[in-house]
Amino acid sequence: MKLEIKGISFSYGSRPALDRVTFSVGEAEIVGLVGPNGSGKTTLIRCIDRILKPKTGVILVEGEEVGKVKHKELSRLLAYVPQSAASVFPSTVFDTVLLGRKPYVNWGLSHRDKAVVSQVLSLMNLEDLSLRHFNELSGGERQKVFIARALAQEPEVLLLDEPTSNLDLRHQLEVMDIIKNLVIERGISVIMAVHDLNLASRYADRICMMNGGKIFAAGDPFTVFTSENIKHAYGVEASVEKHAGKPYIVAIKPEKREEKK
Amino acid sequence: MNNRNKKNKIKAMLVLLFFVVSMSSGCITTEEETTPTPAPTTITITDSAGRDVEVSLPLEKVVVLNPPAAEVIHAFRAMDKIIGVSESIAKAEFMPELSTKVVVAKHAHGEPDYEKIIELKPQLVITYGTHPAVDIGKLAETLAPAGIKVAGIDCYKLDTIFNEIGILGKLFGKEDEASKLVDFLQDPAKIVESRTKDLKPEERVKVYAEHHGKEYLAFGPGSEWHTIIENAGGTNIFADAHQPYVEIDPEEIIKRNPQVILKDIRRAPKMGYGVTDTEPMKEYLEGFIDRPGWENLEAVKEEKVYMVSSALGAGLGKVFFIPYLAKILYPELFEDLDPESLLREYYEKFHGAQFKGVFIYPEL
Amino acid sequence: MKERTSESEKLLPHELYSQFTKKKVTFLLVSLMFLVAIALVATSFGGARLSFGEVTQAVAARIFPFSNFEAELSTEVIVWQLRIPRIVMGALAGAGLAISGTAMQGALRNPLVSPFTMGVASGATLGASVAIILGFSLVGTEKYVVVANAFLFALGTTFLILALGRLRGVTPESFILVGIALLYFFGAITALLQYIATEGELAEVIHWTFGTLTGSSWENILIVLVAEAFCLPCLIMYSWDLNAMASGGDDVATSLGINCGRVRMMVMALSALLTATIISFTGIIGFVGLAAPHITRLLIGGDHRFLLPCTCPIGASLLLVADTIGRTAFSPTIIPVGIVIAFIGAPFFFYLLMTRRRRYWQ
Repeated sequence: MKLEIKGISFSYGSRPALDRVTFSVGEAEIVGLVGPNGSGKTTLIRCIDRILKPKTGVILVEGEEVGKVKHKELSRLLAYVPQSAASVFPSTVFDTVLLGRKPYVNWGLSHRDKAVVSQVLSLMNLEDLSLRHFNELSGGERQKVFIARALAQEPEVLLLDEPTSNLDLRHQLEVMDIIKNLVIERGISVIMAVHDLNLASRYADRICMMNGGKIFAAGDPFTVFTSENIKHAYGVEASVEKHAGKPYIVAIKPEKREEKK
Repeated sequence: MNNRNKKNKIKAMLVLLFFVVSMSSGCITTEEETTPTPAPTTITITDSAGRDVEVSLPLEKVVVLNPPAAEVIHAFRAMDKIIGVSESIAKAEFMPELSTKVVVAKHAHGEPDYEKIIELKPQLVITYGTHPAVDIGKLAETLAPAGIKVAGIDCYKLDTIFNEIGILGKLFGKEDEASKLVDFLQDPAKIVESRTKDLKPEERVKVYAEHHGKEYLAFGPGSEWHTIIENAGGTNIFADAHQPYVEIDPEEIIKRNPQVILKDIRRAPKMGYGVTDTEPMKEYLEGFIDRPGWENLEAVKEEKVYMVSSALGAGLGKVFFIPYLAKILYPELFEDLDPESLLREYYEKFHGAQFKGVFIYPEL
Repeated sequence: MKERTSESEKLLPHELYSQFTKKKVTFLLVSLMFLVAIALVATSFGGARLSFGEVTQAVAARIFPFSNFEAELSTEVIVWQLRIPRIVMGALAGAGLAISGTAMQGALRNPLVSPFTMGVASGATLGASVAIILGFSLVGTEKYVVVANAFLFALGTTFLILALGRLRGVTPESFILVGIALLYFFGAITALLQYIATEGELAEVIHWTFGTLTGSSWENILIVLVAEAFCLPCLIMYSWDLNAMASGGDDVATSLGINCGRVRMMVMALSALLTATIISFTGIIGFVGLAAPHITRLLIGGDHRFLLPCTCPIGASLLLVADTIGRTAFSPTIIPVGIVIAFIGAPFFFYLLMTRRRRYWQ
């Protein structure tokens, strides 16, 4: 098991956000984390990367407890890709991606560092933009830069928080294809929190559906993506069809139900 | 390629710098100070700040920053020894010889242009010794490496000025002139004192004196004006205040009903030596007494409100303020005293200047 | 990996990047030379009319005591006791304030922050006021009473803010808020002190706040130099961390292995130490800590590995130019550098804002 999450709980102040979440990610596996807003997807990802400290529970990366690993070591194993955002201060694309080498650098850059960055830029088709200013890029290009930065960390596990929300159709597919290839070629594992159920269905090997801070359903796409599950978690009536061997969810209408307080 | 260009650039700069230095070394002049004149001596004086200052005489090159001291030196007719002044001194109309000297500071307080002072190579710098805004220690410390002495000689406080005139007399070799000046200045005060010392408290004229800085900022005990009022035989209606400058409640003035009101004037309207236009003063006075409730004050009804220029109210001039005030308070007692003629004699005899100006308004 | 083809001569990204960084190194060297040039020019300005040759002689006479270089005593005193200390202190102060401001802007991820946002200035002013008006100081001999008090209060304020900031989490927002709260609080106490002060004391306090290089002595310079020699390398070592925190945010930085809270505290503490040391001697010199980072950033971008070192000569030059103008424009009055720099800096800053590159501010 590449990554094991056991019994993670977390609260923002007094508001509970995660309740004893448990699941695991295997080698070369893509796990799609889905669920409505506030279900805890982003919180979980931030707990895994030790951005937030969980109240209870243990996270193991390649058998080692994340809490006990030195932070620098951890960032060579786990890489985090946030949602696309502009940066307050000016930065070139190259500089932004270069930050991904921080876990390996003491002060000076080795030739390897620079080579890795170059590689990663070419992989993400960003070479021509390498000296452009980050804020000049489109949302999609920025997202690719973030992914490139994460890849520059040469991680074992990629944690993606809504990696394609700001991308147009073409870029969405481009990015997901690159990620899929990386998983196959390099054996990295990916946890991605997504809103788009069909994207998750198409690219993820396993799905974890979350609701109210708990994992509500987990398994392969077909097991998880059922009308009942979707109705329960999202409050939406949907029909699940099949397309290219994967479930295809068509939302029909929101279910009328009382607000649970 | 870039590296080599950079290296060349740096080399060029170094060579240039070296060149400049060695070129200028070719035109060295070793200048030596021509040691001055026959029989130099050193005396030690204690200045107004209580510092012992060793000065080598005779003094030929002095910088003066505080106007009262410059005035005294001018009265000795020793102004040719002054080589540098503050701007306020250079602008004094009755000392035209000083207007051509090098200006090294705007005022005595604050920081002078040290470089200009050092460039003049004076033997001594004279400034205020006890003024709160003058850091005489710092001045002395900064100028010491250049061999320049600093002495604080106030010349603006009534209880120390006569002593200070004496010190200046010693410094400039004008002991005779100094004692003549001291006698001249002390006479009127002595006369006033002798005639007013037996006045009973209920006979003393009530005076309200206001500071130039602010409305309703009165002179209280501890201020020089308070002392002058008491010495001239009057009584300060705020003699019960706790500070030398005190903000008072306007109602108190109405309650205490002064018989004479004095206003210290500094910058506006223009008054003092050389000023002849009384229109602005008239306007100011009308505005001044136009305060709520003042029309009922005795001083206003009897038209005994006076604007006092800084030529009388500050610095050396305070010495002359005493007879003026005595005449205002007790005209019958001092019929034979003519303060204006004292002032005239002062400017004409001691400063060689034509007497003109409005020192107190309205005129007595 | 793409190979360099003979027809297109396309460079790999990292090769382009190397060129890119070389340019920044060149800029650093050029700005250093610029600073030296300005310093040289500044030495020939002053109340006393000295030619450049006379000044150089006076300099050389002391550096090479056994040579043929000689100068008049008065010239030597003017150059070595008045001008050079002032210029050296100005350069050190400008550099120190600039790098403090830059580091703080990065650590708090806010380009409007200056070394004084942390209350260092209000603390120092309070300390100076207490020393001057109440005649009470925590430590210090007669000569250094005001300086020592200003310094201690300034540091005290900063550590108070750091401690309070920790209570609510070491985020940029909490620091800035606490800083502002203390700014007002200390400002109020200072105002009260000034209200009860006598005229002379008030004048002295206000004069202290103006920020001046007059009275810079070699002893003061040594102290500031030591503080800078310590703080500058420490701050520059945080370049990578600041890059991550400033451009990516705390989450990303944490995921890269950076302890954001600790870096923030250390950077603030170092900036505060340096700033407090400088302003205890010079009084409040504003603006440099805010503008120099911006100017440098506009010229060479936001990579702190180059930004931090480069703001030093830029800030130093700024201060020297301001001081030289202040010394000579209204001779014999010397306008304190803190005032001059506000006058020339503000419009200049407006100009930069108006002609800014759009992307910078999004």
